[in-house]
Amino acid sequence: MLIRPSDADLRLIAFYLGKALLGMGIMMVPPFLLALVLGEYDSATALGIGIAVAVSVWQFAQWRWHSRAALSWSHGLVIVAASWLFGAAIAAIPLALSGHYASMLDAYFDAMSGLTTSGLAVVQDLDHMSVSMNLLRHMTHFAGGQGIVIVLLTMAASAAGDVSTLYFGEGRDERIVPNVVATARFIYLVAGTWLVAGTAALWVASLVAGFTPLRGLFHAVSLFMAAFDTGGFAPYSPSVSYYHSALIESVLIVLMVAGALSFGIHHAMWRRDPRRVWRDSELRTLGLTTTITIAFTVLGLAYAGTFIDVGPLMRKGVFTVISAHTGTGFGVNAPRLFVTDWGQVAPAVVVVAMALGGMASSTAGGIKAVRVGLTAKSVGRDIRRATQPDAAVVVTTWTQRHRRIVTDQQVRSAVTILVLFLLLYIGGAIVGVYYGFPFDQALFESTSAAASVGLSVGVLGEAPVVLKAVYIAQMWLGRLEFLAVFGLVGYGWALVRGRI
Amino acid sequence: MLIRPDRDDLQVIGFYLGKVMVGVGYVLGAPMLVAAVMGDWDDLTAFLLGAGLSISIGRLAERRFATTQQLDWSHGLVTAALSWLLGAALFAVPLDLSGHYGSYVDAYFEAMSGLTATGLTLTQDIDHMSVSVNLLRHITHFLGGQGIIIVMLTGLGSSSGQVSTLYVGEGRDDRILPNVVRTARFIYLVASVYLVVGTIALALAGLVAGFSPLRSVIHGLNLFMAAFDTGGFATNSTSISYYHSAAIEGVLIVLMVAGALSFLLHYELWRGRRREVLENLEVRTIAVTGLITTSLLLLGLARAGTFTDVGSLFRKGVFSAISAHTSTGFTVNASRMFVTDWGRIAPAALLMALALGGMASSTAGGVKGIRVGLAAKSVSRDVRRAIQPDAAVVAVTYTQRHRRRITDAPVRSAITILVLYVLLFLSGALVGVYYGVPFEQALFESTSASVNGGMSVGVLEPGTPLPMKLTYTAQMWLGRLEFMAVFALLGYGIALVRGRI
Repeated sequence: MLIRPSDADLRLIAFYLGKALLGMGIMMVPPFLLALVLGEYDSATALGIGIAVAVSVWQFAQWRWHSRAALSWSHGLVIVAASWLFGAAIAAIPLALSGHYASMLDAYFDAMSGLTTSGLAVVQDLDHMSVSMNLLRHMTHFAGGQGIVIVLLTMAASAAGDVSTLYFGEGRDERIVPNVVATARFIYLVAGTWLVAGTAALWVASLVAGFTPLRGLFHAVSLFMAAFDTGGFAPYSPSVSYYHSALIESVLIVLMVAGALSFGIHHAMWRRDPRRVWRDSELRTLGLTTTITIAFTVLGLAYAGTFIDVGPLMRKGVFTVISAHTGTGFGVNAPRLFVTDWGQVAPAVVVVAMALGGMASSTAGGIKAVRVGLTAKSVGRDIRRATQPDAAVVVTTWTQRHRRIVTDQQVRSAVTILVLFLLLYIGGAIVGVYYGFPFDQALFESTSAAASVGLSVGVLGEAPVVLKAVYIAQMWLGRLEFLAVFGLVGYGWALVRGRI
Repeated sequence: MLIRPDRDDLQVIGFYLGKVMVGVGYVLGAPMLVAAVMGDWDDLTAFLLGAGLSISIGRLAERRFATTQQLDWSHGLVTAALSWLLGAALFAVPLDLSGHYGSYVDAYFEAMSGLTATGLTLTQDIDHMSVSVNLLRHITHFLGGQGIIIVMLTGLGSSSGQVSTLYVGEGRDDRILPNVVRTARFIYLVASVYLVVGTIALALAGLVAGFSPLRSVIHGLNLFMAAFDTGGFATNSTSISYYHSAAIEGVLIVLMVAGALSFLLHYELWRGRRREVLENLEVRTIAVTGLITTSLLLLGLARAGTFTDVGSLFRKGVFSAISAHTSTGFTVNASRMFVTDWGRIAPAALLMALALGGMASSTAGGVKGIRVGLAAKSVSRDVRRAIQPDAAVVAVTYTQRHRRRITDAPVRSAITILVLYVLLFLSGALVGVYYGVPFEQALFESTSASVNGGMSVGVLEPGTPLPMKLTYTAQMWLGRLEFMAVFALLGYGIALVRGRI
């Protein structure tokens, strides 16, 4: 029997949703201040309107739906799914007012792309965008990447019990330290340290590349947020190829990989526990798939004769695969080059790398190494069981902090999500094919959106409205790993069909 | 710890492989007889050579490895995997000698395609092939479709306890009747009733279409074997479009659907339990996926403007969709038309139908309805669990003979196999892409081979690079055995090298 959510349930959801949306306003404050300092008054007005909307929504929710009830699992899922939808709408307001977007939908697309750390962009004339507005785009990566909900609610809510269910909804189901609020604080600590160190490194690299100090700082901050949160926006339209700097690319590779590591690994490194890092099954899976995809991409590029020298081949090949595998999406060549110059094999391998994605509990998207690894382990167990005597007990283990026996339930949920991702990739590709794009290009673009990557082969640039809407839905579904969206849909269904 | 297989293990495997090889020799007797009657002396020689080779090697192995030991689980899987490899190698001998194949590899491909009920073909000048060789091609469908080992062994008088693991190794895991021999007998019964009725219906349709009585019987028999075993070979290069007959197409649709039904369902129907048809999860799943893919296909054809009138759109569209979904692979248009005339949506729908496949424990290939259904049910359980109060117990049930609750273990194995199929499709496509075939065409051909479908967009032809032919051969083998037996064979190889006593 389906139970219809009561008024109290809806009040509770609306109340927490209001709190989450306030975060969008807080996110706009640094760019707003920057706009005032730089004298970009048009941008300041747009950002001010955005902040005003966010604050009023929050105040209205506080005033109208105040609640002290505890959140349950289903509330958490609904709040998470809804806050990404509405959060993107609020973040889209200043973007739409900036005049760099052809329509409200385009602005919403970029806001969703930013918050889901995808990095696909439909912005027009990016190279002449105001500095503050450009910073806002990168701020959405940071806000989205660190998990808007966990960030905002641990700030707003004092009680740990209220937010723990939200934590599950975001697809980070590994609690590193026992208490959720303490976990969140640890996440800030790690992100803050990386922010300072990464920005400093990028700043130095940009100075070496010949930037003025102020411009260098802006680019360093923007690039850091896009790299560490595996986002993929860039301040200028040619993405990372704008810099022509091997140094910047190297720093970015380190940051992208750091962003794709789970917070469990960060925690182990923080505690100087190399055994835990080395033994981690998920990290090993990621290492293996990265090595394989890099090898095949380099092979494919060599086969297609894209580059004359080995140097550029390795540099562009390795950077692109890491950018794809970590779900970042920085490009070091023009999108159409994938189609025209990269041959057939290399782009296919890049699609595989994008589809696989980084580690769970990171900002990376895609299927995630834990699911790939568990599936492989489970198949390995089946093979071993088939070759052993009938009475032998065959188990396989998975090491993440502790060594544990892999259960059917774990594997079931891993392979389920894996299949859902595959369906999402293929479903988006079929819509692309329907609108007349070749299947391989449509699959590339669809995978890029669904795995929160952001690499493009140029399909997005010519996409009709429906296809853009499909990519928005894919980014949303892929980032929330389905469950929260299913929760929202089920909740809607229960509202209509459920009994009291 | 890995245990190295000892001499006893290898002996029992060798013994049963020998039995299968002898069986292959006997089966070659049927086309031999036809060749003698028709006076195809060249082909008669080829069959004699093939049969002599099979029976002598087989008998030798039986004598050398004689044992009364039981097959355990791993023996069964390894024997199954090897029998398919060896069986194809032996059937390839007379095919190669017929002179219609570019090389022994091509003939091997053809034999594997036949045994796995795939239907991809590398035959050259098929329109001038002798009746007896052509019959052999279709007999491989029948043999492979019904489960080569089980046919051979139960036919040659082995007892149930000895061969039950082989039955599972061949990807047939529901035991309808208490023991495997009785299950196999039931399978023969159903197959032979369909054989008689189906062949008569097709022969009549052939007569109406204007064939002479003898030719209509030959075509009827061949088409029956290709359709009911969801194979897809045809006696002529133009497949079913050769006949230009709506009556033949109609009978074939019935036979293809019958072939894609599981033997469990045949059994229930035989027993007059019609409720099962309505309630069975797998039937329902296939009804839904069949409707979706067929309508998408028709929509795509209409959009691409492939046909000018509605009649031929429906006739060709529905036939192709059913041929793909049951993984038969009969076509009613030239292969290249899929690329040049069908637009983009319709081939994509066909690809989806191919990938989904028929029912488990039928002769159809593909991911199979039960796996798709279980995966969908499991997702719906997750959704319902997500929206119910934390303490609610959420149970999702499905019906297959009985009403059952969804548990983690079957869902895990269903989805794992599903993922393995998808990987098989994609990796085959990558090999094609490496050899310069456009991605979508490579994916189509690779999927068609992996699901034992047999539709082609023209990528496969006698001039295809050797590694691609070998890849497709391996895909057909892996797809038909549903991975497990092949994995066991691999594991056995590793254990032989690396294991300890």
